[in-house]
Amino acid sequence: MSLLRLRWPTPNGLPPRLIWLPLLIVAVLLAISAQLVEFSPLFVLSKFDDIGAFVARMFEQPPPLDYLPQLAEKMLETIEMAILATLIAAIISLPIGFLAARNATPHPWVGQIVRDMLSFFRALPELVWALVFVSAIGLGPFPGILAIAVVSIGFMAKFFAEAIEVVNKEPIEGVHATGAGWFQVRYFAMLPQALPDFVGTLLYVLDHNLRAATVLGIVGAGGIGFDLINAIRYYEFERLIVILLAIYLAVTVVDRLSDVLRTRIIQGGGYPHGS
Amino acid sequence: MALDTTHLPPLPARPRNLFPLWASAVIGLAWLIGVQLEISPKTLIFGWEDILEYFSRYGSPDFSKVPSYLMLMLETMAMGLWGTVLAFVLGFVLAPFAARNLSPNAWIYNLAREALNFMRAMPDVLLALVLISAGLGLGPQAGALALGIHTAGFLGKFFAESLERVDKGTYEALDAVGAGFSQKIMYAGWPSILREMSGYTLYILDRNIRTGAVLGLVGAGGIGIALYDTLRMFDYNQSAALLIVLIITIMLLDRLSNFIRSKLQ
Amino acid sequence: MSAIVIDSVQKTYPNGTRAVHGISLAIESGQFTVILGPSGAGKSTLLRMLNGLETPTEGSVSINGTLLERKTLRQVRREVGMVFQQFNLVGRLNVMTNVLTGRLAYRSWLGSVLHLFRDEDLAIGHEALARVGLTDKAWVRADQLSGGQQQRVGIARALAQKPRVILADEPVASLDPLASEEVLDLLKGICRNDGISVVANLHQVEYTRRYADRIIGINAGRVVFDGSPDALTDAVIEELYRRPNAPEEKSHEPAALALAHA
Repeated sequence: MSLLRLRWPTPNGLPPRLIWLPLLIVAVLLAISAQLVEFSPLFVLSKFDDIGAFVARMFEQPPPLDYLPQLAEKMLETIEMAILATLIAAIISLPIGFLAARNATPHPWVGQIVRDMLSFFRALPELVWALVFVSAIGLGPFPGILAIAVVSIGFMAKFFAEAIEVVNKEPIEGVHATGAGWFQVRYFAMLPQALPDFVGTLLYVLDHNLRAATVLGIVGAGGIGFDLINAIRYYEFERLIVILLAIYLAVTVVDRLSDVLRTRIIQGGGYPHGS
Repeated sequence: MALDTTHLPPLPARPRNLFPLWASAVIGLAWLIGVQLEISPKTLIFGWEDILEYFSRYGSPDFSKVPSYLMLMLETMAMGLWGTVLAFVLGFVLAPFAARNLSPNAWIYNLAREALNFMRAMPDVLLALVLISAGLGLGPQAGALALGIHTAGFLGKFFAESLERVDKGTYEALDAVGAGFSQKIMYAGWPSILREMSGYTLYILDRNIRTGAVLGLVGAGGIGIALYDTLRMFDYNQSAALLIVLIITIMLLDRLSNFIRSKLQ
Repeated sequence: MSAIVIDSVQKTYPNGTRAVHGISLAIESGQFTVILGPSGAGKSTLLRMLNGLETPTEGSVSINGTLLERKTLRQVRREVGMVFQQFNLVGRLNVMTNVLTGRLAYRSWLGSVLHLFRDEDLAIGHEALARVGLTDKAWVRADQLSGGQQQRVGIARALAQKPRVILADEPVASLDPLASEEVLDLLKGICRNDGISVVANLHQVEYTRRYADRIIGINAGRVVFDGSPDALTDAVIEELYRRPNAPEEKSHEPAALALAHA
């Protein structure tokens, strides 16, 4: 008598706990929270037509040629905001990273305080920081840059500190043994090892910051976001499509570029000496 | 008193050090941008004074409405969770096609990669705006969908890259026993990258809850709506309470996800 | 005057392992001293205490008449070059910059921020590189050299310190025989011609016999032999490498070394 029996290739024939437990937890959480998100697949499906129509309307009108110069200007502003904010954040993150790294900090308390501060910087998304800075110093790209820079410091300094924490100990010992001082050990033995990682993070953050900069205009913090929200609000579909295209192009170019540069830096490991 | 080195074998010609060149180029670029965006050091200094004055207005938070804010925070977290699950499912389906060494053919590979790329390129705030205007209406549902679509682009890319890094021999062994595409993925692909996958997914969950907090600004539910309203009405005491709820929750989540990730390793 | 005076030094690690049990030694200037013993015998701990990389639990160390303590640490380290088993170079910096880190103790932190060194420091670095025969590699990244070459850069870094003592912690344990002899010949030459005292940890008996002026045999944290190479008989070696009955000692040497001996 042969009965079709299916079992997992485990001692008890059941899936391993490492698989089913997380899935179960997630399923329970989803069930509990379904009401909170007001999730109804049927409703979403019923709206597919509307979404399709919305998208179709973007392609109905001819491209607004008279808007293009303004678009170019706003896109340039968006990209400039992302670059400047990333640079400011990078310069500030280098010393802060050393303060936050457990093996480089001048005192454990300093490290803990700095790490908590960075966690605070990261806690609020750019858009909230931008809202706060716009209320504080008015409209324009400057509050946007500050908002991006604050969050970027939170991330870059954290990742830099983590990179410092995993550097090889041997070179540090080698430089220590020559009698080099506190700063010199960090500068000559730790920095060169952690820097390629930092540049990788920098590119990653630049990529992220460009995406963030595209929407900051929604709260008046400069960039293309202001035109974007107006185009949606006033149903200017012909503008909406060119703005979306411009964002897509800019983000894709930076995404690719940073991918290529990152692999080259991590493999080649360029340090501003010799190599 | 420098040593006489003339009798020593000479050093080879020193390679050109391009660092000063790069550094000045970057500083020049930053300066140009600063000029064009009309950011002068003066604005910075006066700006900081204004900011400090402004922050002092948040000095006396009003905690009377905290229970309702906590409810909103829960809504934000639910939005983040649903978004992440959606992203995971989409990423799980798309990633094998976007992995160079697994994809059935070059067309599908490029198509899958472009799809993931497109999802990444559309900021979630923007997607939420579009979904709301296009017919889903206000509320967390549009937010969850927007988060899901945007971060599926990330998860799909991360998964695909992990699948590409798996040792070639692992796939070859399954090819050798005659396994098909889906069998190769299920028996060699996912099991090899399980740990990385869960790390990425946790990271995305973390990120989606943070970002979920701002989707309310464009009407997609959660704590962002309340924050936007109180900030717009200059109700600093309520804003302060909201910000405190938001910051504490997110910092706690940060600790939690760090803890889980350290357990995973 | 003795170059190094070790006075009843003990070292107990926080986990309770006793690596060194009360050792007293005086090491003369200008000699090539080899500390010989099996891995895990406490050689490495002893050597590392000589320039403050480890602090003795009890006892004291004096280098050229200066007591090694917190406030003299930098000054002592400046005069004591150290050569490591794993070379301990900063791989991403070029060879010359690695050698010049030997000059850092002589310069303020502010002066070294931009990687700019004085002409006299560069001349010292040049001389040190010429001494180890690597002038042609001056601008190559350190991690692109072979093991033997990296160790010679390590020696050049020590030389750039203008030291009075060079400590070498298993300098040839990660090298092939050819490179090992090159490195030991170099150290021996430096000892002979520059009058710099060299203290080296070795575990190979053959090299020890060939290069040492004086041999200090250590097992289980105690000195079990002290004499000239002629006195190092086979019986002494057997005694030296005998496993202690109680496995009280834990290896504090890098895992790679422990593996190499497994």
